[in-house]
Amino acid sequence: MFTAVEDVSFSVARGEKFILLGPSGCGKSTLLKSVAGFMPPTRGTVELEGRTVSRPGPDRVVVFQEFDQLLPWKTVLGNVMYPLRVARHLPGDAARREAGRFIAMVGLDRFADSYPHQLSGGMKQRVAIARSLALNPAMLLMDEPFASLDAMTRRRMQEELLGIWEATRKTILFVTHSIQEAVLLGDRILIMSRGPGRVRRVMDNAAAGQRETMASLAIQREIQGILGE
Amino acid sequence: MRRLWRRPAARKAAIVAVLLVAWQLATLWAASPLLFPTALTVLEAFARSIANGEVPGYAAQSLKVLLTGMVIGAALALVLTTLAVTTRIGAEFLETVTSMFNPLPAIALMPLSLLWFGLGIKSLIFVIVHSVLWPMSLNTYTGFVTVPQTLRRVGQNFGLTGWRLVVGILLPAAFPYILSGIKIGWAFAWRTIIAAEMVFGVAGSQGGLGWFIYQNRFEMNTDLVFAGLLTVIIIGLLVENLFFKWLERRTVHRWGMSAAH
Repeated sequence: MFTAVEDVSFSVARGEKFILLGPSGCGKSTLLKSVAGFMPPTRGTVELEGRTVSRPGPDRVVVFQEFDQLLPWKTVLGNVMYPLRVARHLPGDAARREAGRFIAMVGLDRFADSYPHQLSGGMKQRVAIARSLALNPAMLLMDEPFASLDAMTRRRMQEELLGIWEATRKTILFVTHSIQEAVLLGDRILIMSRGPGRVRRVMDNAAAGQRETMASLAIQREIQGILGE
Repeated sequence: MRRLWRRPAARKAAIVAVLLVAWQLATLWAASPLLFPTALTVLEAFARSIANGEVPGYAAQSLKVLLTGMVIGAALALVLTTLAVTTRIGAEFLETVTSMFNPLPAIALMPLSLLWFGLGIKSLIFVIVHSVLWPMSLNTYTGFVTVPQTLRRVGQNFGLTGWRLVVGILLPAAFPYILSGIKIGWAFAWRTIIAAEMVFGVAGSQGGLGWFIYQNRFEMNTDLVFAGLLTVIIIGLLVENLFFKWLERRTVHRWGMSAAH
């Protein structure tokens, strides 16, 4: 059997932005899918607040990279409301209010009645983020959510995510292959290498929230050095 | 005039008009009115049989049986395909029985159906169910297995499993395929019911458009035979162009989901 990840161990603190960084094929997405419960690990365990995770659940909501993660048959409002109804069992009125609040947070109030196919890629990802946050999960799992966006939209989404995190202090586990994105977003960065995936280092990031400052560039170079070894 | 000509519907109406005129002229000169009545005679017979309630009554009877069969067929298809996407043996069962029964013409089951259910509505419903079940199952199943994995995982992420995942995510996500299954099912069912009612006509029972056509052939009312055929065509066109078009506008077009083939 193919082993994507071997001997990986890490823990994420409450309210932390934790980055899994590595080249494509290093198993970082596999790790995230294990945490999400889509692919239970063949060896070892995943624990959330002391309980072992064995299947997907609304306490760990995933924001995927793919734009087709929205339900095409529901409007923006319907997409955000739906999990509130089925997973949090909120009555219609409460779900509508709660959904509205998070749609406003990502700045899409004017598009609440639009269908996903009428939205741009960036807007779709915003809806997915709003939908995840509305569920109030213990943890937000983000699987390269901005990787399919153009550079400018991507930059704006990164800033917005930082703003959302300031406002909500959600625990975030974020997968990316972009060093620059990792250093901008992560409080701590787990650096992985390929074949099979192994942890090279877990790094505290003093430059979180900074874009192209001296500190941020120095850390980016350091990570490049580690990955180049 | 030129603007009107640019609309496909206008051009198609013109084609129908030309065909009617050609029919009228050809039958005026060439054919025996007993075998091939003129277009005007047929239209007159059609109007008469609508006005006296005979054709609408029979059409309603046919459609009622057809709808009953389609609803039962759809429900069975839903059960079969739900089992097929949730269990492996269910998938193999569905693949085996659809490949066996899908090529079997519904009308070939009519003799058996008459043996099992006797002369009556039940026999008709049985053959209709057979004619719609397999194509609808096949399409729904194809739709289910082509649902993107991301969407499936989104549903699981909300804690949906089993039939809740089927109803909440798979059914709507597969809707373009399901809709085309329903369209194929309708076309099969409509042909089957007309044919099956003719077998009933032979057996001396009554009811339905097929029986109306067959009965009038016996009495050499060729104009009414044509009127019956005309009704079959018109109902087919109305369902296809009004009902299904409307349903597509309300669903797959609004959702921006590419329709399945």
